[in-house]
Amino acid sequence: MDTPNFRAEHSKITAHLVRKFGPHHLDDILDATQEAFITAHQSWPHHGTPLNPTGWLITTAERRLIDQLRHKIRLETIVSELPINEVKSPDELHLFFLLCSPKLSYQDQICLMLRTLGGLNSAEIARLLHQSEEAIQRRITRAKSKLNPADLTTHPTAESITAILKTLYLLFTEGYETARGPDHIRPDLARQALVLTAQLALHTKSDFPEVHALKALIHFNISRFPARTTSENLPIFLADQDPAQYDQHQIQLGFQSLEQAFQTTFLTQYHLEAGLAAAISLNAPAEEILNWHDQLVSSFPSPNARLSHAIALGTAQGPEAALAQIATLTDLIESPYYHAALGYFQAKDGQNQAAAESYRRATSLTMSLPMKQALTRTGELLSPD
Amino acid sequence: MKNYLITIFNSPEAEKTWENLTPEQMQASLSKYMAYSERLRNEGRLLAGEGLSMNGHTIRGTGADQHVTDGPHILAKELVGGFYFITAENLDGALAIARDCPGLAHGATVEVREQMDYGQ
Repeated sequence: MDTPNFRAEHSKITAHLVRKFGPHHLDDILDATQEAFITAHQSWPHHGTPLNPTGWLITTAERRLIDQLRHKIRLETIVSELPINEVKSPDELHLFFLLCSPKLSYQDQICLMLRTLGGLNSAEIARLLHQSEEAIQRRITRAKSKLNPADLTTHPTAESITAILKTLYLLFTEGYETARGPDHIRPDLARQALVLTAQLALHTKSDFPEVHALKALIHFNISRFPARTTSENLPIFLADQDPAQYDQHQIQLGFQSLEQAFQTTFLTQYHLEAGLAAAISLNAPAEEILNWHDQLVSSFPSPNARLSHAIALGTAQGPEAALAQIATLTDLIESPYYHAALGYFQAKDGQNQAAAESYRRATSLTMSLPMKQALTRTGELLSPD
Repeated sequence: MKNYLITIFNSPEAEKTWENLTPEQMQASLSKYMAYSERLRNEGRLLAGEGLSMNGHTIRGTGADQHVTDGPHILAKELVGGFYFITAENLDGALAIARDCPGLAHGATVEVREQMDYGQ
């Protein structure tokens, strides 16, 4: 029998309990949420999946939380602490806005959001933010102590939206292409990012066009999921994907969001990335895709944007143009994507021996197991010069 | 046919690994447990099965010497998390079933015991 999506359940339970019991119990709330999942293991195999799994998990977590809190304080105190508010937003948004407290730094906000709403553990957050696990744990502990229900805002500011969108973007990125471990894609993570973004878009209406831009970007990228892995779950690179497999419904939803996103003249990085993702989903000509990359790299020149630009340049104008561009990206020398791109265009340029060596470097640098396999296979298919 | 009790013990270390599982890993392991129970049920061998909560008491002695402590028998170090009471052809058959218990993947210790045969 199917079990519900636990990642989505995790944020629902956590958000519900924070709303009911207050953010200063966050530690106990996260423990209680995990306990509810463990308790499901003890009950569901014997009694079947409950008719309302979400309700069952929330009730179980709530009972567990009350048990835990009883050990610490008297129950009357807990009840009197319940935050009273008239917010008509879903529990998840309530928690998002709470975590945007101005008492927390931008990094603190993102860590707490990824932990509670993304359901990521500190090791996963550490990888995403390129920090040590200890540093993340310290940051989360410190940030939690600063939370106060009195700081709750129902009208998010532009700064809070920036932190929320960055969190959702990070969550989606990890789902889109998992940097480490056995999976190439983690669809649950990507879907969770989409659900939360959609809630935010609905709640903030047209106040923040960049929310719609992120939603569009996620839809367009999810549309390509069916074409991005082989039946053995190995990555299929963009050049080898079959556009006929792209999910047309997601593309359609992407365009609906895009229309709302472009009701402004102030274009964010999410706008440009959504435009690019739309062009890719529509299998647009290489020149058009290069055009989006040109805009992205001139406005937001991150190392990854510059590498993607070099690849688009090569696809539009040939391997020599790409290789010349890649040669300037010396700060990416430790990135597996740098060497994979190098190998790809060296092979196109007829330098098979150099390409094989680049693929070997890329293989040794990547922490993703499916990526390792796919790169090894690509490298092995090259015949010697 | 004989009856066997399969008991799942969780060590403190196993408890730690549970705390760090991601929601996807939780979901995957629960699906395995559901499938395991389903299989025992379909094969007609499942007599009973339950999970045990941490609520309880441990009692020792009688009368004035009786001591009651809160919680499970902690001196055992490993706590019983749940059990299956099943029917199998013989101990080997029960062992084969117990070896598939999904809890093993999370560091649990699994015990299989034959019901006492009174020879009557």
